[in-house]
Amino acid sequence: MLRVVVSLLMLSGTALAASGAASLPDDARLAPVRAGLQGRIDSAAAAGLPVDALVSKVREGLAKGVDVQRIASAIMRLADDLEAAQRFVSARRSGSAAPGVVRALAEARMVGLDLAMLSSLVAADRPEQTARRAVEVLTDLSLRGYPAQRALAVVERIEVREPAALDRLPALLDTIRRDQALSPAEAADALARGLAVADSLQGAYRRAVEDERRKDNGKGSSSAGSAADGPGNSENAPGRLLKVKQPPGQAKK
Amino acid sequence: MQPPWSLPLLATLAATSWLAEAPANAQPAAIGSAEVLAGAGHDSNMFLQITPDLATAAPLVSGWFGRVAPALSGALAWPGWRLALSYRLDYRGSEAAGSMLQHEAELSLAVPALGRLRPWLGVSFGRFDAYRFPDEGFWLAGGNLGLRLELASALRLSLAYRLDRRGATDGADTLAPTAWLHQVDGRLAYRPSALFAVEIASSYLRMDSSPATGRDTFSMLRAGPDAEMQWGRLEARLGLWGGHIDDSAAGVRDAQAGVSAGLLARLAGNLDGFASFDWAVSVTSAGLATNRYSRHVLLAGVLGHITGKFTPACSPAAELSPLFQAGRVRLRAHAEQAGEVRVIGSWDGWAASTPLHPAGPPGLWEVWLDLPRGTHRYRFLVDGRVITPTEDAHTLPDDFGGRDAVIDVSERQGTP
Repeated sequence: MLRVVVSLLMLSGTALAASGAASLPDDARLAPVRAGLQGRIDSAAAAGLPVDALVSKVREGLAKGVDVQRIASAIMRLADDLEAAQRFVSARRSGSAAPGVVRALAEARMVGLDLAMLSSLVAADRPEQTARRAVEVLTDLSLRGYPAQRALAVVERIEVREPAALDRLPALLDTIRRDQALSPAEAADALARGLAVADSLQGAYRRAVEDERRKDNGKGSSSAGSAADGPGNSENAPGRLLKVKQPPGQAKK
Repeated sequence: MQPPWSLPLLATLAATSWLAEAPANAQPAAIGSAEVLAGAGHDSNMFLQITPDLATAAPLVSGWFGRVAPALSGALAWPGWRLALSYRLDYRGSEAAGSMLQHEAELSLAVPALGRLRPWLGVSFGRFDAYRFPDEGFWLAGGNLGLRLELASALRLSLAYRLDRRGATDGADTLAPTAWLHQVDGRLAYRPSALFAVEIASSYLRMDSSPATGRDTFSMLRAGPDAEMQWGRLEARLGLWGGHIDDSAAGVRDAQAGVSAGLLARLAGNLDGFASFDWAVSVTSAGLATNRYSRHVLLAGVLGHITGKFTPACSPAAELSPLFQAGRVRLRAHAEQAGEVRVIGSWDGWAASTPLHPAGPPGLWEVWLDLPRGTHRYRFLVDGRVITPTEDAHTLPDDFGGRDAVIDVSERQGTP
């Protein structure tokens, strides 16, 4: 009984907090769309969605001077994505709705990521903060042009092994891209191979850089860091086609 | 002798590279690395790696050898560009063949991607000396050009063309002092995951020499599948190939086949162990002095490597790039004749704008912020007008069709 009362109090508190954060900015530019926006925000709040994401998006649009119709359109889309994200999270994580995770998933969906692909990142055993950050980082990487599946392989490993390093991941991958003249997919693969060997993200970065350098300074001419690149491969051995051939019958000195 | 299409192609690449993709990171960087290989192995024919011995009385030189190969390289990386200079010295010593020394320097340039196409080009110079067999020595000077095309994130095609001028180091005792070498390599790789790949590799090589007795052409074509896999600290690679050689001077036409296998173990952060085996065999033996030609090379050893990096803080790009210091972030904007510059960002839900202050040089404004960890987006407001970030800033698309500047704040800035 006590548990039920506590749950009801928490839910009402959440709803109150949501409704408290649900007020649109007092900006005259919003007048043409205010009623529609407020209605959508109220319905989202009633559904327990993290409406601060919607309000924040309105503020962002206003601050950038975006046309209010365009803002309204983005808000409607985001609200739909929040609902889909909440259903997705509820099916995978018991207990609280994890608003941070819902918001992160909604933003991932807005940039075109398939929620089903993100299941592993928001599994029930992942702390909420870590799951939220992992999804945010994957969304960020996707926007930066990293193929989602390749980036997911890297984010999954970091989330499990070194969650505190998630923040560094986008900048680190960009650095590998720049330093080694790689495509986003190649950079993600290089770091994934490093992560298979190293104990930390920093160690994986060093390994990735060394392996890529051995692939001839941005040429990417052969496969990663394997024995075939160098040592022992007869193709690379001294004397390859060294001989200026002599006509038949002419013995060497 | 250089193909007529290569110069226009180079010029086109250089010109269109200005239209290439936006930079991933505006800061330039200098990267240096050193590597030493040390190993030992057995080679059943130390001089004739490609062709079977011709119809001469030349003996095979076979035996155990030791190999030491130090290499140094330095590179300058600028968004999309990479200029690298490398030098490799390769020493092999054996009872059978004495000392052999090859050194080669290469200057290469990777230019920004053109959509899915990533070009590079380079020039190289080198020399090979076999002290007990001086007439095997040669020098080389050449250029190469390559393209990498990402057909999909898991399917990649690479093409490379190399043109070398090669000549005997001891021109007095040979009838063919110089030769042109053309080589085209193609590789189609399917990489379903970062740790596994299968490839179809092919190579065509043609060498034209001009001996006093007339023109001599040698050509070789090879193709076959390769596979590579990584399990934790162990990498393995296996390749098969079949091919054909045609030697006009010797009257030799021969089909060949081969296998190449390699293992590489990550022993420590800067140390790898490796072992490899290559075997090539003549299939048809037509026109050969011996009925069967084959060659194997076995090699095992260790590879030590180290890499360092320097990012200059005084570069032109760094002046406007975010600077991290003592847990704070400096943002800078350049706005000539502005009365007020402010910044808005995602760190507070785009709620408030923070003013920037003149930073000293005319038109330069800055602000120091305490930002929480994570990726933040921001825009500058110059006299109330939203400014689209400059091209050297790292940007991402927003939900309104514009682009935001982006900053990554982690608990340990300054790395890598």
